[in-house]
Amino acid sequence: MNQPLFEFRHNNAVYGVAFAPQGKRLATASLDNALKLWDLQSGEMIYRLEGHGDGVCSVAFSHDGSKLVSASLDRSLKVWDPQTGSLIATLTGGHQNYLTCMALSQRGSLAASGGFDNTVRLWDVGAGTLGAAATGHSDAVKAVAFSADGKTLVSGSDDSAIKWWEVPSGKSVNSIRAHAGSVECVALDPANRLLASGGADRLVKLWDAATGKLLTTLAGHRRFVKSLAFSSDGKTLASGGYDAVVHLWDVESAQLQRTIRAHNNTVYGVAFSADRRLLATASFDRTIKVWKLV
Amino acid sequence: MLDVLGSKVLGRQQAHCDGVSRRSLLKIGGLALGGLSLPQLLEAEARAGIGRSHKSVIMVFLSGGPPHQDMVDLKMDAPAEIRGEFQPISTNVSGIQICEHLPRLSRMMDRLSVIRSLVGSEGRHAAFQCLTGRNTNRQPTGGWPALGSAVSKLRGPVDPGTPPFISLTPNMKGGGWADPGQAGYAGLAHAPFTPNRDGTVSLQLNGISLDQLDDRQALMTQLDLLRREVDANGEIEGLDAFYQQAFGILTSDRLADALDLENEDRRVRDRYGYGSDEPAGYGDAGPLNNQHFLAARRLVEAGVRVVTLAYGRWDWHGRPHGTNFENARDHLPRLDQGLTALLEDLQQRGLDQDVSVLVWGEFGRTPRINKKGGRDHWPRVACALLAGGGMRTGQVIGATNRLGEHAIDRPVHFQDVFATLYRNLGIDVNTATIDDLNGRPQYLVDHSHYQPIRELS
Repeated sequence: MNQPLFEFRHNNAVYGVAFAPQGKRLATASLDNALKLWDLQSGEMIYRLEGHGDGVCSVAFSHDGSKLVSASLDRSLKVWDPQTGSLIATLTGGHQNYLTCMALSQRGSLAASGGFDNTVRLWDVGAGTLGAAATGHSDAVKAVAFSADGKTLVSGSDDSAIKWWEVPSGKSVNSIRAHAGSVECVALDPANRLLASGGADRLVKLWDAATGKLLTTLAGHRRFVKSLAFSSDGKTLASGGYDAVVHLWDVESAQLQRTIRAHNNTVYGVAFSADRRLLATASFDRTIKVWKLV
Repeated sequence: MLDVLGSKVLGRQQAHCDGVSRRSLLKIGGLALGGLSLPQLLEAEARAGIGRSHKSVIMVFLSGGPPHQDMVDLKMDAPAEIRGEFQPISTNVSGIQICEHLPRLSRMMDRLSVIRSLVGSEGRHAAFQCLTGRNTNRQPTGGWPALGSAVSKLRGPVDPGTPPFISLTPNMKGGGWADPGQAGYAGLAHAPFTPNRDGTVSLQLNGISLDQLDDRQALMTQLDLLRREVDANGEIEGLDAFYQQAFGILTSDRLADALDLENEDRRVRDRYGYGSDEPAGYGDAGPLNNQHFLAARRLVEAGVRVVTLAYGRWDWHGRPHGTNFENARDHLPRLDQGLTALLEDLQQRGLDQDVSVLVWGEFGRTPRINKKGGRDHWPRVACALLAGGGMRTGQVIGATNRLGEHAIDRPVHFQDVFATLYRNLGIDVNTATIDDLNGRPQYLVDHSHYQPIRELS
């Protein structure tokens, strides 16, 4: 796995990466204000999707792959048809400052976003409407994640806290001080058992997703941890950092399995394909790399 | 549009037998540098008493303001919130250290002089001061000319086939960094030729643009047609000499060849590195394209006196657009590759004594790293790199205090740098003047205060 299967490029830093559910396509989001959709069989770019007025910070496919949702620093969400590359809808009116993170529920059509206005916003991307605002963080929200059942939303912030929110009401249900310094990324495992978080303290932490109890701490990154993703079976956790490195952790044993010196700059995004055969990493070095795991 | 044979030139409307005016036959758009026709430009230059030399300047404008303390003036004794993330590395000049992300430059420090005490920044986010040496306030009638425009006025073209001043800066969103350099009171005839810009300042010949010059066959076909038309009427001999020069520029291979990088050895191109022609950042800053360094070398080799280019987006205020250090890790290695390739290339071609290279931006960055991991604007002090041009190199000029806040030794003003460039071009800033639009002679720099940098002599 020393060499990536594919290396793709944007004209600026790459902030987000997502596999289509069928695993044949990859969507990437960049500070160059564009999304790109890549064919993982040919390695060719299929579409360059333009329309955002600032960097695109996050991208996600709907559970059936029929929609692609992007979120931008321009405070908007856009819904695209990944088959045609056409824009379906633009959702605005939520955030009062930079929107910096977005997650899409795999149940229903809800999206959640966090921003520099310290809020988490819920959106119905099917209806094109803005839902509840979840307030309580005292600093910028850097990360959001839905539970697999779609009933809970988790957010991490520069205020060092992780908060749990009820969906769709946005009611706060739990809060912990998670890291020394900012919380940069969060991920929930597919079984709803574990919450992983990464922070400015260079640590990855695993929490009981239901109670917020700390289970274990994973040390390995030399700078802050910027991205996290569980594999679809929940057995592997990938973390990417400001140190340009990607670590693969065995969740059960909490041991470092593998280190990939993947990039020349911060790793802003990591994603597993649904079949767990591929790992995609996205970096401030303008590249996206697709690694064959098995 | 420049109308070579049209009514504006000949004073009457002439039509061919087919009823088509000559004007429609020969339209040269864009060489109308800022509005004046090329023949008018050449005529004006001739009136000015053009001198000729092959000294030249390549100015790399780091649009946005590069962080002096993260490049060539690292402050390892400062507290962490000022010091930054990077480590210094030694260079091939004893006692000089620069950033770890400039390793190639560190091995060529003997060919560079570093100014650590650049002062006098107006603090505006614009190319203006780097292109003119002046600030925007109290400009004389017509406005300060850019370096290249002043040199064009004073020295004229080296070769009829190459304009004296070329800016490789493309169109960008926003004005300040997109400024290719104003002609000011030097006159529009001396505005830069801007081959990378769209619209009125692109060179077009009956619809063929420089972008299409790789299709040389199509160009030559067009030119042959034009020549036949003109010769058939027997008027080319009688045309004003300046129109022949205009025709010469358009039909010369020199400029087109210089801009056609496909003519360059692939190994040389690879040595410079590549990049995108798209304006960097959010479409508002110079392209981060190392091939522009190569184009600059080819242009000065072809006879251009001043080449300027905007390179990258150095305005790094921090998240969510990346920290100062993420952006520096992105930009510095590219600059490192492109600049060292240029210096090496100039030396290998024997041009290093004739071509002065200057790299700088509009200001420095705040010593204290902000909450978002960025550094903000800091006009109090900045840095510059100088090479070639017969200058003494392998040295650091000036110093800042422990925190990189201000110059504590040998402050060097923007105009001192300009005086140095003019000197390298053979122009004495103590005597050379250009009349402003009121007819008042204006010196190139305020020479009572600013002079060529003595350490570089």
